Amino acid sequence: MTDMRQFQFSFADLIDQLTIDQIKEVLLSEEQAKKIISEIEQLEHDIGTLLHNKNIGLKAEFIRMVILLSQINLHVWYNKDEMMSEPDNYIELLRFSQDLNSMRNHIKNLIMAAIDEATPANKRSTFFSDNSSWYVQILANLRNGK
Amino acid sequence: MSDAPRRCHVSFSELLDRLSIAQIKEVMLSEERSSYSEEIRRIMHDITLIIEENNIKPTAHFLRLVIVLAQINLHIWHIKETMMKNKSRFDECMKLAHQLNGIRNQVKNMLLEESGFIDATKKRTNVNTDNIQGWHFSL
Repeated sequence: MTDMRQFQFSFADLIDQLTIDQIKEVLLSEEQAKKIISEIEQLEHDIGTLLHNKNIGLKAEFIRMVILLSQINLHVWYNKDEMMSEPDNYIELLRFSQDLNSMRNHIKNLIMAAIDEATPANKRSTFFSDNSSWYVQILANLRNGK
Repeated sequence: MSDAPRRCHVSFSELLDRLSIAQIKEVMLSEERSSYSEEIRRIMHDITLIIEENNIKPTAHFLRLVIVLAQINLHIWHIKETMMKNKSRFDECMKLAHQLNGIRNQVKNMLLEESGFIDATKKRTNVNTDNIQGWHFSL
């Protein structure tokens, strides 16, 4: 069947959603997990299709970005739990989540650029909190391909 | 001292595991960040060598296994933090970390298979999860 849709998830979006669904599969109830598993199968199908159609090769830099994206989404999940249990640290933790989310968007932009998927329209915005935090060196390393 | 090349090499799945742990440390531990960044650089160098030597192609399932491995290591990190902060939960958390470690080793073995490595000596044998409850992995 021909796919008539014109606005599709990017490869980076699919990977990002797979990392989030993987968290949900593990941490949500068994009943909720059943629906998530079905979505994971669909995501794996579409990721496999794009890997094939775009002839995407395997690179260490790409594996690292997938690892970072996976863990950033899980950091955000744990951080939200802490925001609820530690109201005195709410703003500090919220700032951490904001920076994590900016890092997440930055990595998705890098993945899109790596496979020629990036356009001005689908580029994600980043709003880091300051220039002296944990992410500065990581951003520099990613920029230099380290 | 002989400068003969080493014969024992870290497996592909072990490198992926070490990369995911170094990545957690690079984000979470500020004091030695440069050291973790350098370790990441060296691990990525060796991963590149293995990919090129063995012409490993990415699959969706391979990427899913990388995601699961990366997240299991972060779950274990948080469980160990709870273990140290809350001594009354030490034994409970220790057991859970041990159980998750069994799943982690299963995933590492699956990564070897998915990448085409069939050498049994590289496989992890500590794969028991001791009847872990409430952690769903549909792999």
